[in-house]
Amino acid sequence: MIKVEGLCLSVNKKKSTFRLVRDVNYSLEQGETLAIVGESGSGKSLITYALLGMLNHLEGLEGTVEAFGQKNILKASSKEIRRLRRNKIGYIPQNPRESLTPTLRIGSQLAEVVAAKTGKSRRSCRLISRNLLQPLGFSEPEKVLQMYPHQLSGGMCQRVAVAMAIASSPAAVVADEPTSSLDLLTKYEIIKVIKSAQEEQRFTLVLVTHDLDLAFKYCNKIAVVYGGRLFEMGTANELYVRPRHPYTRGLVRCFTGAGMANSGLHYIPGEPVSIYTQFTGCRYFNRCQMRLEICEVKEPPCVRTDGRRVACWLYGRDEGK
Amino acid sequence: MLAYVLKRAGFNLGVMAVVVTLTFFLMRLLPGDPFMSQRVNPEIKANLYSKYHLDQPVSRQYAEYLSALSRFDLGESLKYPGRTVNQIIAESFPVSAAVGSLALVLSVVLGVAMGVLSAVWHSRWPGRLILALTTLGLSIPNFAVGAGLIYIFALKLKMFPVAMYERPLDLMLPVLTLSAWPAAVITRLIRTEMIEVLNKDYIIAARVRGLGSASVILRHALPNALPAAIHYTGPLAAALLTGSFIVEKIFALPGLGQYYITSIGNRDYNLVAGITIFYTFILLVSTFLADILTFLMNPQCRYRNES
Amino acid sequence: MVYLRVFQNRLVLVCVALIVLYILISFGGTVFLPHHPNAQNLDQANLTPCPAHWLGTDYLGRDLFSRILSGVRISLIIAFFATLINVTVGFLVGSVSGLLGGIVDRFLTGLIDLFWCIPPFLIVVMLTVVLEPGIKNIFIALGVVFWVPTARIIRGEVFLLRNAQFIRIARMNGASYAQIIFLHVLPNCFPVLLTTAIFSVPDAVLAEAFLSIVGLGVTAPDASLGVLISDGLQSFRVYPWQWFFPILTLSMFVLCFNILGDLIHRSFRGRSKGILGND
Repeated sequence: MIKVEGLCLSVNKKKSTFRLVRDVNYSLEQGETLAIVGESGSGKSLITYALLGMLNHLEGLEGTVEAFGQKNILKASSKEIRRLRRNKIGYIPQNPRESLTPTLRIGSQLAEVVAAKTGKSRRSCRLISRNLLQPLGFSEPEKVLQMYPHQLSGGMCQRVAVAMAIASSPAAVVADEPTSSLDLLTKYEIIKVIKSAQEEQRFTLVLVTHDLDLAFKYCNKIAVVYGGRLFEMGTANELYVRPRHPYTRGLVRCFTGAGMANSGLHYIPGEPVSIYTQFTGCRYFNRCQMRLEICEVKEPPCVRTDGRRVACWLYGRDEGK
Repeated sequence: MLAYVLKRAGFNLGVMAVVVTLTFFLMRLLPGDPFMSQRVNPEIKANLYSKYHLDQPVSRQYAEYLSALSRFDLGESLKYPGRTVNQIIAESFPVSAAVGSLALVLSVVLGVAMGVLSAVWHSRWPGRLILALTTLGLSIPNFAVGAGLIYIFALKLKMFPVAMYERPLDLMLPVLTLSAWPAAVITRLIRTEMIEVLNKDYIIAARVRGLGSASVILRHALPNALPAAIHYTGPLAAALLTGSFIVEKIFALPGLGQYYITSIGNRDYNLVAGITIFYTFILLVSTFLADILTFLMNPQCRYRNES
Repeated sequence: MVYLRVFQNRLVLVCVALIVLYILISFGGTVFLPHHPNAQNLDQANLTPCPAHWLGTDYLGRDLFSRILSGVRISLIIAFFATLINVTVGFLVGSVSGLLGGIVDRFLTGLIDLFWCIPPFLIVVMLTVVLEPGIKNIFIALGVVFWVPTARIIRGEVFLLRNAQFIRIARMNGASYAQIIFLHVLPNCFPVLLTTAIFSVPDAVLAEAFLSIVGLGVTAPDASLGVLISDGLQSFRVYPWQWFFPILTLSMFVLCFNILGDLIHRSFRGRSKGILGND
């Protein structure tokens, strides 16, 4: 179980404070799949970095992340973080080729990670890593182990990264846009590889993506992030059928509209706000078609309405009544 | 790989030819001649000239010099009668090389260690301290370091003898003097590269995969930060091994560097040309070795043709 | 704006102030000199620092303080002209080679490679011996070797710029190579050129000191910093101050330029540090 409460991250730059992540709350049961959806620069990756303890050195980090038997990952020592990373949580990075050390053979890198995660000797890990690669769709794992990252395709590198992530049967796997640099066919192969590993090991999967297709098809929960805030979170089905937040509605219309003939291409007018702009009201105010007066001056709170969280005055006002 | 080696060897031969020609003719352009200081009568002088074939036309001398060179014969010293240049080099090179190789090892070890530490701590005080030290090291020339070390440790504290080399430990001061500057340069090269590498995706990924700091820094980051330092170490090795004139003068070491400068003053044509050629040879070889090493360390070069 | 921002750093200000001080005092002529730098007084040879001679005297009884100040001037002149040669020749060769490409580029890079492989101090020592030691010949000899790395860096920069849109457009509009080099390439290479120039000053001062110690420095009775150091080295076991003060002056000067060069280099490079950099 993962429980995130009041996650905030602010950074001081050029004498002013920028709030990159603001008041993010969500919780996940073991075995669930959460998609964190958002545009580039919306802060969706940062939200998952908190889970991996990658932000602990930053001063402007607030809130609690309760998971894997830790009261608060954000306050954990570096030793505890390393133990978490070894035993409890796997990480699949964004750029598969750049996330493998170019000067080491695949086999040696994989064996090192396996050794660190399982505590076994390097020698015995060679065999384990071979067996790890086998179900991931490598026809000749022995040969791959002898190669260097630049000799493999992006998809193959990503499979190696998946093997590294699932080596210790983790409780959760965080995939940070695992498919954004891959071509269309490889993209689905990788997702299928991750999903089948999930079925086998029953880990919680947090999938950061800007690809709504992946989110709706493979995840049972979806969190929509905009400008560092969680705009809406609910089950994939609910969000697809009845999106509440105007932004989510726009996204879903873009997505479903794209598949239909004669409907034209739907898009959300305006541009996403930079995370570095200072703003008092709702971040989506400029682009929102259902904006209210209050939206410009005050940020909406995150409220629960019928089993989901929405951060919009359209619903916050209802509840206030 | 083989094509690369051959190409480099060909280019290096060309460089050698240019250096030989340049030194040969530049030396003969120098005002004065090898025997001007000795008040010898013209007859003896003419004899000496003919003995060393200096009375022949320059082109003839050049041709003879080249043919001797092809037999690795660097000729006879004009100033130290009866000794060949090969002998002088064979005597003095080991002295320079002994001090130089120690200095090389020390500066590389020190440079890599300090570079890595200052990169890992680059925003905290130990990193800044190391950076400040290297800036200082780059601003104090070796003649200052050497004389300062002698003054403090040999004259005032009497920890080392002055210009006496009986125990291996006595070489410590010249070795320290020689390695201060290159250690600072290597530290900076490693530091810059290392800071860049430590921000790379694969380092962040390795950390998130739960690898320990030692492995991340030494196994994953360091090999990728080394090429610039190796590139610098090639010429450095040549300069250190063949000896520095100043350091040898300050510490009274009978090395190759001393001979070189005095032989220019003496117009000892053969010795100057011989040492120059020898030095250039060492330089080309060590640069070449450094390049090969960078080549071998980068798997993207090694396995370009496969897969 | 970058140029202004550099001066916001306090360390830069200190360095610049010190360098200006060096230049002012050493070029102030005899105004600042308590004694004539070459005036001998054998009765007062090898004095320790005292009120009459702040930094003592040398073996001929010449006032060390005055000699150091006039020595700085000579070293500065050598460094200035060596840097000037370095920057002009380096920039011209590098930009012509990078911009023109083709056979010119081949020839010039070949030349650069060749110079690269010949040990620089060999060329300098040989040239100063051939040309006979003297202020002019020393900076010429230094200039001959210093331009090589500069040209290499500039060529690399220009080679990347070569296909940039604004250069193409300039060429389409009929700009000559000279126009392109001075109007488009020069402003773009300026940061690189500035840092090489700054770093070449201490290099030249140190190289000059090396030449002096080798015995190829400026001729007596004039003395550069290097000559003073070389004289001091002869007797540093007995009269350490004769060696210490020139070295201190030189090291301070070199240090100023090194720090200045470092900071300017860093501010131009524009450090972009990721948020995870310190994890």
